[in-house]
Amino acid sequence: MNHKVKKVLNVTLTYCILILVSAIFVFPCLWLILASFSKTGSIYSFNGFFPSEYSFDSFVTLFTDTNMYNYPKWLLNTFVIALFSCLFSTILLILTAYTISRFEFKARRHLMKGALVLGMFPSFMSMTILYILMTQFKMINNLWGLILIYSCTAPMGYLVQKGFFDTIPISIYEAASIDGASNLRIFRTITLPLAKPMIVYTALTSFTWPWSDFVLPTLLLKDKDCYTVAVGLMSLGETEFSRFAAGSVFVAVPIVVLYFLLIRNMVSGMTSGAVKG
Amino acid sequence: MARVRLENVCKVYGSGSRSVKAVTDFSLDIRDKEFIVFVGPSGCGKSTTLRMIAGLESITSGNLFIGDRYCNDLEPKDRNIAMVFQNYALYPHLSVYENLAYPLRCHHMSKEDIESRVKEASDILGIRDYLGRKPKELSGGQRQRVALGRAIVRHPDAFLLDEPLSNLDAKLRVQMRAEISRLHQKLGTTFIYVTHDQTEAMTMGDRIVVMKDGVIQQVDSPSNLYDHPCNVFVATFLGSPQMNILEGKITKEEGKTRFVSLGEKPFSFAMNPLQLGHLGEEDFPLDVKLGIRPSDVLLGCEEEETLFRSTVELVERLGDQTLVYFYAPGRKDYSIASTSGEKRYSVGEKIQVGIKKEKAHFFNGKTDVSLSDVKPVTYLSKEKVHYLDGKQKGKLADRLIDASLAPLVPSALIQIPSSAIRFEKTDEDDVAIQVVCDCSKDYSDRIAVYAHVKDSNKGISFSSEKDRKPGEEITLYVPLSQVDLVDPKTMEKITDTEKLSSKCHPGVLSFRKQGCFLEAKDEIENHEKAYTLVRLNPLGKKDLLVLKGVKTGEVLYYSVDSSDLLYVSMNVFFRKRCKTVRK
Repeated sequence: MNHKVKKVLNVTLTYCILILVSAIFVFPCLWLILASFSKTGSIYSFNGFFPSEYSFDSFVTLFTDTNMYNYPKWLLNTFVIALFSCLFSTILLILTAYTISRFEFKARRHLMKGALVLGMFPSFMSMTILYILMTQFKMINNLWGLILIYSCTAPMGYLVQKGFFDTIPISIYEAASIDGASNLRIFRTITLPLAKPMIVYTALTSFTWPWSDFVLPTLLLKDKDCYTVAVGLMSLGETEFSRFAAGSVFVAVPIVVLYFLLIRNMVSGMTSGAVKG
Repeated sequence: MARVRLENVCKVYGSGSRSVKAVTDFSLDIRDKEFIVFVGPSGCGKSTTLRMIAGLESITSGNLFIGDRYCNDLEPKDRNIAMVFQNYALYPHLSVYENLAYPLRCHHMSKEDIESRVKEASDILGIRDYLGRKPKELSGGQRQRVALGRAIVRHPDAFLLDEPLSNLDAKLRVQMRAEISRLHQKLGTTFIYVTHDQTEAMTMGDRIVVMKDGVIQQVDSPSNLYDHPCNVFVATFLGSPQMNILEGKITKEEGKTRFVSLGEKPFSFAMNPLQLGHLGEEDFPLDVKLGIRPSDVLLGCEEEETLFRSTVELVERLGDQTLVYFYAPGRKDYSIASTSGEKRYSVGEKIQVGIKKEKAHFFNGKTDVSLSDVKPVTYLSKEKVHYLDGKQKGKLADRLIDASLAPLVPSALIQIPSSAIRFEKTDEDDVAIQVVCDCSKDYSDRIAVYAHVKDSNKGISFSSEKDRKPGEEITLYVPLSQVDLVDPKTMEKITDTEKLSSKCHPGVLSFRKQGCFLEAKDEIENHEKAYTLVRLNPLGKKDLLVLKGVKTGEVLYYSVDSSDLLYVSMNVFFRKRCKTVRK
């Protein structure tokens, strides 16, 4: 077999595998999207896998029929939680990662080890205690309770951000401190601009987690008016399948928009040209 | 523009048994407007020293003055120095203009001032056309110019340059080397330049500091370093190809001094005793190392000049010169001769080898120290008290060691650094020593004087500005603080002269029958302090012993196992913050 044929076969095989894998991934999404356009609404009326008739009705009722299931309210709740959690988590996470990466202090190693070990426990282990704490603080059915939990647990996942800060050469900081900048000024004028891609990444991840989280809101939000989209959709009746599908599809829209808005800031190579090593 | 002064600066990383001493007892006076170069192999502590001057590393002990200011505890930004890093350390997200303006903005200068300063600096360095560009759009040489520019705009007291050229290619390096020298002449500011490249050191520096393992080996002008290296390390570090070192002996027979090499077929030649500086009769025969630069080796010389015969092992033609490798008696490795490029040698050719005898360097075979140079330190016996005059004898004993500590080290020697020797009394406490001049040797900028202590045969050497005649009596004065007592076995200081930084307070340690006592020497603010003892354990290693919970002014009883404690150094300091109790 000559070299060229071998190469063509190789490429064909690679593409076949890729198509197969992507089909497995795309199918559930496609099915969900198609289901959201189902006219009858019930999963039992499907013709095989897919709906027999299509219409926009589910999306319309999602926003108009708010007596039983107030989807716009859920969306607003989710947005408030995700927005503030994103804001606070990003600030805390960036500060934590920067501090641990840049400064030597006594308990640094212990803190890092502690965070690593704590991170190994599954998060549902803390559910009981969180519920009790939130009851004590009277924060059940309170969006701020969720924001508090999301923001405060975020710095535990500082490792990725620390890894990024570690790549900024220390001599840049040293040059700035000799140039007369205080620690805060260095952070503001040097670190933050350099860490822009990382901040965008952090903001994106800390927005999507509260946006799509189900476990914590179910635990802490009992009042229907406080529901987030995830909890609300779960409370839908059995016959409302297409509404469920429509709600799930629509909830992905802001994330996709956000992603495309921010992705161009996530270019790598910001530090190129700073130093030669 | 400022003078930079370092006094007994030490840097220790880590603590306890895992501590590493990066810089030891670094004392240097860098004159205003001087271009000084720190040079040495990697890991010798040159960058650490520079970073201590910059304030990026803390100073473990010792004092640092920039201008007249005591700078140990100042933040880098308050020292008014500028630093250029090896990897440029430009701010990648800022344009060249903003990079240059950054330090000025940090000092809240007005917009007009910033603009004029940036323009001025960019004109000096020829980077005006790139002001709008980002660092990544610049070449290596341009980036380094921007880094220099960022240093210039500040109008700092001193420039610190940490291997600024080592990331550039060879051609650019030569160009930037000249540019930095020109910059120094133009600005007239103190430059402190760190490099591992001996060519840079030799071509740029007014003075060069050669360092090894955290210790200064020699501080001198480039020509003096090349012509009069103080030890084998300096001799072989500077000069390319490096100096040939041959082992041998110096013998004295019938009043004539001869060098005899080692090896199966040794060679020998008569030598000028002045080349040896100061040696007593009892020193012969002496193991020495003969150092000869490749350019001072003669190949194919006349019969009477020939010292030995050898065979060419390897030839390297560099164009203007040819390097010939051969084996010489007294050296296992190759020796190298450099000859003019016109002469042709071939491998296997028999050659007659001689040397320019007046260019030979002689080093002590054991200590590697040059025999012909001023010895950096002189050791005098403690018992010979007539080295010191009556009044100072008592004081010296007080300063150096507690009377009851003396029996612990009966044979201790008094150590006098030659750099501390003065010819006039500057302080009441100065130690005076009467000496008689033996001979002197003219260096380009100073005269080395070799003398012996009056009523003794103990030699002492020092630098003098004027010529001294043999037989002339001279009184030398040494500041008391520079005199130390050393243990002859380990040559470790018994008194620890590492000066304390401002955070510490001195105390007095005394030995009594019950044990060892500590007392505060100065008035200390009235809060709890811990006492830190610098202890030398039997292995000669330094050990910190911290005692906690002691009140100021309180006399502390501290019992030690006599087998454990060899001796305790003088400096006891009171730390503001306590660490853990170790014992």
